[in-house]
Amino acid sequence: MTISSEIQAAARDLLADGQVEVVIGYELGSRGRTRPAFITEARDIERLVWNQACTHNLTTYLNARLNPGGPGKPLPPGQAPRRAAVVVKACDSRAINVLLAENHFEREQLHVIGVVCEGILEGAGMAGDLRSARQLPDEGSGQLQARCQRCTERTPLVYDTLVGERLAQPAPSHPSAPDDLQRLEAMSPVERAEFWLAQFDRCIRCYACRQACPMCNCPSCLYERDDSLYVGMGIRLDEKRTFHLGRAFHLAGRCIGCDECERVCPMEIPISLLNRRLAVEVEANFGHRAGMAPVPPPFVSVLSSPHSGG
Amino acid sequence: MVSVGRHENIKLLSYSEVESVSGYVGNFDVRVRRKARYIDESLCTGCGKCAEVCPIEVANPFDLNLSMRKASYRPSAQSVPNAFTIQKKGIAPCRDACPTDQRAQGYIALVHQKRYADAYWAIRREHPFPSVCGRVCSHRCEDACSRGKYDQPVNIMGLKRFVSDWAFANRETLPNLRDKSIVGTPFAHHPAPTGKKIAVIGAGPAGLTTALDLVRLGHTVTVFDSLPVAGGMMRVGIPPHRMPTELLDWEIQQIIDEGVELRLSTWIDDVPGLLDNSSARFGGPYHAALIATGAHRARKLSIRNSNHPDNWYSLDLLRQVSLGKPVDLRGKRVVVLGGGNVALDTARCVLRLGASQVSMACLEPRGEMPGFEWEVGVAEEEGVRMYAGRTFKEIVVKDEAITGVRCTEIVFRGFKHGRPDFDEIPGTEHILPADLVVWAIGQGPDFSFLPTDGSINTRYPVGIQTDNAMMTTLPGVFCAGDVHRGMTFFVVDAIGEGHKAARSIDRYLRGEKGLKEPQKLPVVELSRQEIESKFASGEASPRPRVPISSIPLEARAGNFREVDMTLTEEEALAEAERCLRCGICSECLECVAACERGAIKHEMQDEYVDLKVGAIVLATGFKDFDPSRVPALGYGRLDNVISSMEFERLINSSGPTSGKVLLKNGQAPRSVAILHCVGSRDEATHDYCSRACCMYSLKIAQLAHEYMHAEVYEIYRDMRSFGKGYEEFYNRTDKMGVHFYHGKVRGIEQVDGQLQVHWDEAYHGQPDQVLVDMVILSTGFEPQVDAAQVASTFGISRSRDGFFLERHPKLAPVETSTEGIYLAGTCQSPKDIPDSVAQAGGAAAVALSLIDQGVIALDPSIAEVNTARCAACGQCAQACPYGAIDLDSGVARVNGYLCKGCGTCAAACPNKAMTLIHYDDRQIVAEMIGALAAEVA
Amino acid sequence: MMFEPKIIAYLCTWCSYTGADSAGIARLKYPSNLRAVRVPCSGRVSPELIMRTFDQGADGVLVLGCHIGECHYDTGNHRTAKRVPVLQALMTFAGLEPERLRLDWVSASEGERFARIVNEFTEGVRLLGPCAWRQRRVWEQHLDLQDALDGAALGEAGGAA
Repeated sequence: MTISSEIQAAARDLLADGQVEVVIGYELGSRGRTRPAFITEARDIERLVWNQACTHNLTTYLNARLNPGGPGKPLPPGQAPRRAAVVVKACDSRAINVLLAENHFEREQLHVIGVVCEGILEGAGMAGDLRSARQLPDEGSGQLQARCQRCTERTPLVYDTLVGERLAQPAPSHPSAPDDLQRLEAMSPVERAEFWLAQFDRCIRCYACRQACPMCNCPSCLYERDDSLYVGMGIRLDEKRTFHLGRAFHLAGRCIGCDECERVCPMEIPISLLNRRLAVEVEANFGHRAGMAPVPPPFVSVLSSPHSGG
Repeated sequence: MVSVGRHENIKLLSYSEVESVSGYVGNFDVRVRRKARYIDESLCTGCGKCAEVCPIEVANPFDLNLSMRKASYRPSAQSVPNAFTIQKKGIAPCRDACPTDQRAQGYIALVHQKRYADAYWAIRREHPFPSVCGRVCSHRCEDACSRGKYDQPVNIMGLKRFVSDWAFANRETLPNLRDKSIVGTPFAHHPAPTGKKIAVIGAGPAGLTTALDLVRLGHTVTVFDSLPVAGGMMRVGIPPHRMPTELLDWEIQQIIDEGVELRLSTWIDDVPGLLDNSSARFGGPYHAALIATGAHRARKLSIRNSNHPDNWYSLDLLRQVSLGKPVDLRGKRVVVLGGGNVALDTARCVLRLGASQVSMACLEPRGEMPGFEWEVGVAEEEGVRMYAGRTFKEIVVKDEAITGVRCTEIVFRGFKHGRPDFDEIPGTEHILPADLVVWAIGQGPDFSFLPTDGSINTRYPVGIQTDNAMMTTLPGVFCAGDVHRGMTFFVVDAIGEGHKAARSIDRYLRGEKGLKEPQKLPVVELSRQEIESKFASGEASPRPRVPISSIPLEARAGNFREVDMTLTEEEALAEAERCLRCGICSECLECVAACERGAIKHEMQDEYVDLKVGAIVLATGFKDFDPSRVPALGYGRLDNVISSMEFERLINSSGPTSGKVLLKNGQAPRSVAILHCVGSRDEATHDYCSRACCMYSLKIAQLAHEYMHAEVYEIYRDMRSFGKGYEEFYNRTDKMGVHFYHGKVRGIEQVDGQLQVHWDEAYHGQPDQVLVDMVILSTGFEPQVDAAQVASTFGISRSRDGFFLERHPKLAPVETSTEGIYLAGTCQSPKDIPDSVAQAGGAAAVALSLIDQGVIALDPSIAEVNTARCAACGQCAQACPYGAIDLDSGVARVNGYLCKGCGTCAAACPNKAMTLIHYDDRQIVAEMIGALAAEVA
Repeated sequence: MMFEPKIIAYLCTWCSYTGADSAGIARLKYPSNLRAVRVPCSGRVSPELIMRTFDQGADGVLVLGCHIGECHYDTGNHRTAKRVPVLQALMTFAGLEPERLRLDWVSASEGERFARIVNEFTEGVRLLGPCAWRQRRVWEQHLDLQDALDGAALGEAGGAA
């Protein structure tokens, strides 16, 4: 049995006895690219696929499906909690832990179909014309995405149904992949400031990065307020920088490193560098890695040993 | 003070400490621990009789250790409340180690005061046979004695013997004195009968102790014994050269005189019949019975010829000797097999019975023999030959007579599971010549009298099985002593079990009204430092232990005169001085006997009181600076250098010397120097000025001048006489003739019995040194020893020098940063009495105005949620130090009573749905923007 | 003219603000570059606020709270102790000199410590020069240019903005 057929079989069972209202998975779109699918009818199950272009973090749709009134908001009286099934890779499964820790839904509301993933290819999720514009090979061929090259878990941490064989823990980091983090750290503060300002110059504040991220789910985003309390709504360089830095801080200890934010950025800004830098910092200082368990981020608890501060 | 003590609206909780404080202004919950005084405040009239009779003296901290006070004390004659307190540190290690709970520290202190009758009552409260244990005990009390940590333990056994021998010598007059041994106990002489009858089988130490306790409660007790004499192993197991029989007989007689019926030469063969009266010949039915038959069955090994009639049991021999029956061993060579105390007793008896040669042989090597080490040496001196580290293979018999014991030397490794573990050394076989072999290798109980149906179960291979209340498997039948343990231990252990059995039996018979198990305080452990300070304060003498003397060897031959001698009175007094009085109060109960109001309650325990208060005022005071921290001034090293507080006590007519200030040599000082700023204004100790010392130094100068008629020199760095009337006081002191020299003292030296003080910074034309008889050091003020702990308990801060921190030095001198907690007096900073009283008035006013309103205005600055923005992620709830936020219906919710307004939640909220009223984001950002707009000045 | 940095200090009411008061009462000297903003607890200071402060033009930001274990609000300062170092790592990564942001602990009676920290910090920031974090609007830059041109036209020397 292929992974796709296993997923379809699981979905069929779940929908048949009404265990879930929707199965969130992947399908091939009209233009041949892989995209998210929301299956609610048994007859649509055949659409579900699995391939090496399944790049999307589908957990980002859970909130909307399970909490129609908003994150954590109760349903009208009499309504039973909604249930959804979702197809996740190992990285996506950690997002589920973070969302659970933040009370977005109960574990019982999910049926997690975890897929043991061998890695997603560069250019996944892109339409054909964009692929050729960026000189990327056709879907289904090419090299793994950078995040997959760094990946240390292939098997999802959270699942109800596991599809695919359990693989051994892979070696982290493709040896020939240059580490951009180290390159940046080696620069002087002035050089780094210039680098980032050059990057943020291209930002158009489309918020695609925020929308793609499962962890960005506040009812109203702090960086999209018209009162300019923390940052203005304009496209001044420092405003854009504040938005990105602020968002990166909000994700510290919560970002699970799926890098979908970077993938969807139309301006190719390497925002995952910020998240990765903070992940390193949080792990070094607090021994915390996002999504390994449904626990809150480390900033809200007490120091385990006294620091004397700066 | 008196008006505070009498005021109807003031409740004075003295001898108390605040353990914890929680809550907030207007609503504090304070937990107070009231330490046990052991005297009921409401009953005590302050007559002081308890202190008069208390034998324990300790250094008196009220007089700065310049005088002694008793364990039962009142700090001063003007104390409020005027009741006494008993200082009890815990139980002394000697008492903790004794199975009978004997208060050795108590009777030793009474001996020290030559109150031998009182000492005897203190001993007899727990111990009916002090003459026995004063001679033969294993004295675990001495092994535990704190003195043993320093040099040699106190000779407690010797002192006990001294008292019991004195009592015997004065036995005619003792009955005329009040028997204090029953005061403070539930026991009485010939109390009203309870109608309960108890049978005790065995008139040994366990049985007789239980009998005495029960008869003193009003029960009817009959003691049976198969021997023709009472006393058990004490009587027939300890030979007269160790324990003269007349003393024991007198002690047993006292028990009979209390109403115990003794039926000797009676063998009980039907224990269940005692209870159901199926054996009427024993005088039943009894409501309960106690088996205390001891361990009188000696053992021997079954080696070849060990059943030859000239193999005797040690116990048989000892019994004969004790009962005065003739035993002639003249000319005989005797080998005693065994290495314990019974073997030693036997061997020394055999010597006195005329044997020509006495040897002892045992398994254990010389240093591991179970008998008392000292007695092994004495036995050898008397002529017993020791053959340790041997096993016995055969009793050699020739022509129907024993000729010797064949032994080999062994390498002994100890007992494993009751069996000896050793290897014979090849080629060491030899024969110890003997005509008579006496076996002393151990003994056990005789269970032959127990019913054969197993209703009284034994716990093979040891004694009779009982539960924790010492009851056997047959209800109503109890067991105590060697027969309970299944093997021998010491007399003192048997007495301890006898008491426990009496309590169990009383509870069995009277239920709730029966005796309770005693509660004990924790054991006191003294450090070496504490021991040395007791020597320094005169509470104990550092001299070495007084040993027991013995009669010379020649005087012992062929007779059973007691070998060891009692301490003489001088020796006893010298030894009693060595006791460190570890527990302070020893519970000798002399105070109970003396108190006519029955106010003494030794079972009192610490009490906890929970108070709800609206405001708290801290007035915990200060501590004197310890001048030994400035070595150049010679305090503690040089004679006649005293601190100002010590002077205050000395010159006080109610002080330790009734107002006479004298030098160490007893003479009055002709000249006195008063040195300012000791421990103040000094980088090495405290750099602050203690404010009150200049003025009190002037007062001391006036007192010294007026009452001591001495030349007075004030050596000062500055004269801080800033208050109302203070400068005038200084001028009067100057006019009196007190000499004022400006100087910063460098040091003090002893010169021909006088003290030479020298200083820097002398004024031009003034001396820079003076020779005086006495120096008084004006010491500064420090925070109390426990200031850090108190600050932490109440949640207040301290300033850099450790005093409690006021909210603002100018505008809020009585408030602290914690609302509702106020400061008064020297706990906040050094000051004198007028300033303390003024500050106290201020603190009282602020505290009153706070609670008088009836409502507290709480800070309105609490957290607030914008529910439209809240995603219920829960980070705010996690961050809150007070648990004031929970998640409800998909939004965060703040509990306004618990919220203290820190704003940590607001900072944690990712999209700022949470904010803090009066410190919301808009306000802070506006402030920040405004601050940045201004150019640098 | 020597560069005078603008330092914003967030001081907690119970410890560091009172410590600043102690410094004042003891007449201790510390640079007047410091602008104090009082908050109830150092825990009130959010990383977003610190970033906003730099965005607004501060050359240095000082956050002073109670010593760990002595916070008036129990553990408020623990949260700060965790947040600020991570923010520091982020902003350093983004090109802000790390010496411009400092978190430290001052208790209510430590006037000398307060003065020492402020002195050290201000001197450190002074050496770094003005903070380039704030990007002025295009039209503000235009206004500066206009001023400079006007100045040149009027013949003023120096022409400091």
